[in-house]
Amino acid sequence: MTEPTYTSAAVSEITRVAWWSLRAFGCPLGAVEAMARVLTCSEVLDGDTLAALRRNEAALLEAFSGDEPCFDRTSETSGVIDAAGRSMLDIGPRAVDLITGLARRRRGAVRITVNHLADEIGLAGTATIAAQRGIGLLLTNGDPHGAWRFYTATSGGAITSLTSDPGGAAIHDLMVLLHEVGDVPSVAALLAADATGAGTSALELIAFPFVARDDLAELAARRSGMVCKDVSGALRRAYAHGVDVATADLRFLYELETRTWAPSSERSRAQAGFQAASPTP
Amino acid sequence: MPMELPPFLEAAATQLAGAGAAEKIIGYMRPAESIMQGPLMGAMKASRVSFAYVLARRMIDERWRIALETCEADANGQGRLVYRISARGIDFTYIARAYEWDGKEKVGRRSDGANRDMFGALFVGTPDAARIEREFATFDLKNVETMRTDAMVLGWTPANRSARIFDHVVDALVAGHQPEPGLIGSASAYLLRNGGFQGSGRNGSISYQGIAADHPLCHPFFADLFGLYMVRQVSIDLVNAIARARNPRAAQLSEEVARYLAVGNSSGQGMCVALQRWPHWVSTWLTVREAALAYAKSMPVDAASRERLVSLVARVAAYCDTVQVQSEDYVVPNKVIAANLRTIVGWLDGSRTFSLWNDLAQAASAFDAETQEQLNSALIDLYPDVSDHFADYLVIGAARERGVVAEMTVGELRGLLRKNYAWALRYDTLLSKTRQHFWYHSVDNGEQRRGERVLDPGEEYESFVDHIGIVQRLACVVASYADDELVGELMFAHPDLEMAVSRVQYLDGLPYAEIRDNLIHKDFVPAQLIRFFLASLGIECSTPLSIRYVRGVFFQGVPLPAEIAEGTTRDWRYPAEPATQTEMLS
Repeated sequence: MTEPTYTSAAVSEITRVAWWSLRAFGCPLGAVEAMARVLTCSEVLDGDTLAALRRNEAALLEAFSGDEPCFDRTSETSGVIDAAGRSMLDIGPRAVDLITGLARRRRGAVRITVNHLADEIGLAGTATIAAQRGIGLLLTNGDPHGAWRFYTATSGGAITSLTSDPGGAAIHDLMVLLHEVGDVPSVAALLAADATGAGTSALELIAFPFVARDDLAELAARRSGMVCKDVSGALRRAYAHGVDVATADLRFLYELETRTWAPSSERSRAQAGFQAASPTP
Repeated sequence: MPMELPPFLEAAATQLAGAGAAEKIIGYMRPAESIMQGPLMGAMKASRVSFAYVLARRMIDERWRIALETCEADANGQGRLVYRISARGIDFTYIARAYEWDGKEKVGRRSDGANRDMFGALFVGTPDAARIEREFATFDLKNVETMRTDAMVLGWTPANRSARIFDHVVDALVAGHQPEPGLIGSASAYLLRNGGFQGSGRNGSISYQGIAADHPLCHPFFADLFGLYMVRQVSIDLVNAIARARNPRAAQLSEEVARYLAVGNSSGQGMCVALQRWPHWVSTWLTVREAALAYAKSMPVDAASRERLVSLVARVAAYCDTVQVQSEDYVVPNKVIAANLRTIVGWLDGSRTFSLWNDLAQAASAFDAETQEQLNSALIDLYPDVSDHFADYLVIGAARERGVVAEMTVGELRGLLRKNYAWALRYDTLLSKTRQHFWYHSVDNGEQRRGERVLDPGEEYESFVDHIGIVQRLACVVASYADDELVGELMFAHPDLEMAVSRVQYLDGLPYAEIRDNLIHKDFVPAQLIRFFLASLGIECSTPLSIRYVRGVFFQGVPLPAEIAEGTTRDWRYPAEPATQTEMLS
């Protein structure tokens, strides 16, 4: 029988298996829950996430055991993360915890520059988690006229992402739209500030408490130069209908999982409890 | 931790019993420290608020229709069955593929892989013939690595034959009579034994969150348990069909015998890992159970309720007396429980007087924990309106979401540790026996096992069961943080503590969430928590065959499809084995 090129995988299946697969890369047990969620969410929203695990296997194995990243807080509202060559899959959940914590605590905008990222695996999932926490998260490369992504949730919890078309809407256009659909704290100074990072491929994160009105998607659709995506709807559909992934990528995820399985032996089989003798009363 | 009811239960209590009811219930609820240990949790019995009983009530109240559409079976036991189900205006389908027995008993281990005597698939809706054919073809692959389904399927129901009586029952029917009296009871009353529902995303099946909210099986464990009900129904239809294939004049199982049947179940220590992974489930189940029990305990003893309790406890005692299990190691023998329950019946029949049901519960504390918990399950049954309404919380509590509250200060987090985890922080883990075991997945299809540190390989990939360890480590790390630093900052520097932090944060306010036992201790007995999980699902007669492996039965006595469709009012629980007369072919 010929193996199909694509296979329907369940969202909860990817998450469950990823718990173990990520550990095979060296992800610590205590961090795996958030990372698996980010991985699955990104596969649903952007695709190519499981494929990236396969493509970047060697780099990921190396990165998880590499130098520790660090955070340098440069002001009340800004700071720099040196990702030390680690994957976004690893840095993303930490960065979201950090920036959502800071933004929510000060009830205002915070900007964090992330330098020396090895890749952007899991970016969409990371941003989705921020939106679920009532944070509007803007991701840019530091160029106010460059490409950007923005994630937010409405009061009903519906998560939406807005992305600039190539050569399309500028961040300024996004801000105008956001002012129409919610209370945006002052971010002008943060947007204007130079990127503090020294490294190439820097990622800029600007986060602020933000709850969009329910008509965000409708208003965004009338703007040119930006694409609006119903993140919650995409996740709902994926939960209900599964997500098509390359069969080879899914097989790789499972293969990673089996690397965490311990060898069997008679002693091991007995420890499953089936051959154990009854105790003497 | 001060006890409090979740808002839903507080509102339900007030609605059912008036102002002040919630406080009264709380006053009778057992504190977490008195029930959250393995031995006591393992003594708990199925009750009216266990999932299988909640599902069965719903099936009967809503008169679900279950029709056998096609049944093909040959004399060797190969079979295909297709059922169509209609419930609450929604149609769905169950199919089963039975295989000729290879003469080997399969206990239902995960390491058995696809080597099962039967596979079933529970569909979300109504697949056409081609789709059903594809699923049968998938089963026939009998290879766990290549068997895949899709989101049209809620899950697979692998099952295995009872090596003890399946063939005997078929032989009796072929010979034209019912199985001899006592035969079915002698083998725990089942013909097929559950091999572990494979749903909620496994093998590509639909994720639980993807089930439409109005689907009758959109409820925690309903798909799993309805699958079990269908396995029990297949067991009945299959023996009838095989017998018919061997002899067109074969007898068919009488309704009386069929009703007495259960579906068998065997579960291993993976269940303990699930309890540690989903502590808010534990809290939800126990909050419902303990609140329903507390309500009953707070009520005065009157003639009507006393009569009901006597009738129920006497029936349970008779059931315990007749039930035959393979092993009674590690548990209170059923006959002891039966005798104790009869003593209680004697008290209720006039030898003692009680003003509140709590007084009876206090008097019963002289007995072992299993007897007490069996009585508690019966008390929960005395006030069905309250218990059934409380059971609606099973869905709500399970939906609690876990996540890091990054803006919380470290000082506040430390406060949560002090408030809710003093018991864990005081636990001495320096003794080697307190950390002797680690739990892991083995290459035998990922089967969950337990190894000894240093001696066994695989420690670096141990499964998460050590909640005491992660809480202690969290407490150590936060000691070096200032009170006004943020959890978000802690998480950036210590992402390995994410599981611990989110656990401490999202479980705050849930008194019954944490099991106050050390699962990696040398002396920990997994069977206790397996029994607890299974009792919450609704198992009866659970008995450990070893310290890591528990058997029992579900749905014994549950109405057959025709009775369900008619909305039977028969109290089917704790059935007595029918003394069927042997009826020979004429």
